[in-house]
Amino acid sequence: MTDETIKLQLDGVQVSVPKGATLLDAAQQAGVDIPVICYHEATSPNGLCRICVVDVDGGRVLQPACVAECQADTQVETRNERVLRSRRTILEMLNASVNLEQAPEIQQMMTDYDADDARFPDAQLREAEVIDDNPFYVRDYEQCVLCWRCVQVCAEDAQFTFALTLKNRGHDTSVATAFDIGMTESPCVFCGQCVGVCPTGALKPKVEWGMEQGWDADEMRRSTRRPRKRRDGA
Amino acid sequence: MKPPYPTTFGLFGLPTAANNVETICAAPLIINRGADWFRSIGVEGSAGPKLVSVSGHVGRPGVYEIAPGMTLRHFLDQVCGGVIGELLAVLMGGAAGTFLLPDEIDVKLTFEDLRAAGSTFGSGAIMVFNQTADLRDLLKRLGRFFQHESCGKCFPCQLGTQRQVEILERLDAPHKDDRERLLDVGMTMTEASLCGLGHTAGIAVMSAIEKFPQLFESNGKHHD
Repeated sequence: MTDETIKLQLDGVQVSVPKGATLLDAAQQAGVDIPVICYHEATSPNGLCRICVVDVDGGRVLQPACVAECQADTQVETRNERVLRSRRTILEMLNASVNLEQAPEIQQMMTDYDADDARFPDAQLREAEVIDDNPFYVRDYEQCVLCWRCVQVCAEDAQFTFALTLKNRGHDTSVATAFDIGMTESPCVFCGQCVGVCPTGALKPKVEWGMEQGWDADEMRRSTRRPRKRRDGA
Repeated sequence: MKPPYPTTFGLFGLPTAANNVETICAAPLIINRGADWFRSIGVEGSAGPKLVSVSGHVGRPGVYEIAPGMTLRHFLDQVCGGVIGELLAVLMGGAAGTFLLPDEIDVKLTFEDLRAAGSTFGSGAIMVFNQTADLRDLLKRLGRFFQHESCGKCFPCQLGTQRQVEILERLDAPHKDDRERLLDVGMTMTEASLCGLGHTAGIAVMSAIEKFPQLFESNGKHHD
């Protein structure tokens, strides 16, 4: 960013921002609420969830506020009919594919944007078994919205471990280890940063998961202990 | 990630023109024969030859190099061997294209005239359907194509191509309000997706809703 500032209209109010600021920066500065799902201040924005889209000068397509830079003398509308339709529909489609029971922020967005939680009958839920393959955390990809935050903090945004990647394409996309190997066989160092940035219940500390399952103290100790290295080499 | 787009931030971080093979193939001809020669083919605004790929119910399907400016009717009747049977629809521009009805084929094949008619050259594909064609089946196939092609990165396309195909697969016995669902899904993919695939994944379906609304009515069969 330079010292240069640019002016634009945000919902009819003039805003001055430094050149290079995103529309989300401008909205936060002006106190205008723009919802985000994939965006996290600690990760590189990828413009994936598109829930933050806004209308710039009535352009052909909407712009994702998290990555689109402010342009001088533009008129930005953050809550017109086009924007609300896209936000509502993205939430309704997401809710039809993902178990959002443990994602209170997204549930609140559903309420805010008047999204119908039964909008898409007979939709295919992204079903997945809970993966419990290490002493530290469990993975329930039925609750995963594919925000990529875990993949990013595991890679260049924080840890440089690269234990996590994406497998499959389209609606079948899922976060996974390379070749689906167990987490203890992967490069994972169990730093926990992925669990920290997960916006839903998809990644959960083992202790929290155990408490949900009603484990007693013995079970909790057994399940969260680091597996002892076997000396026989098997 | 987009924006920025290649026109402002492309190769080596600089503004980049991404041309297709057709455009690049035109360059040596223009260099060798001159711009005036190139412009003598076609019409003002749509100068130079244009490749189109014709399939479906015509006498001679194939790839044609045409001089823009002739009407679609002339092209189908005089160049492609005529429509076999009674024309039902022409899908212009491929899987992400729009439908033209039999009374709309007097449109001139130029970028400007097609745009004014709400249509497009798009990929250059022209698919011709006569009255024996099952347009619901066509829409299902288009839906499966986009579901398969979606990379899964941005939510509108990853989720929208899936929701779209789910609704298209039950077109013969739709849920109440499926038409509105398709319009919301289509518009959200068009306006909010990250790349060109998502932007166009609902175009043909929304065109069919406009041109063939009866395809989206229940015919007495209903899910609920």
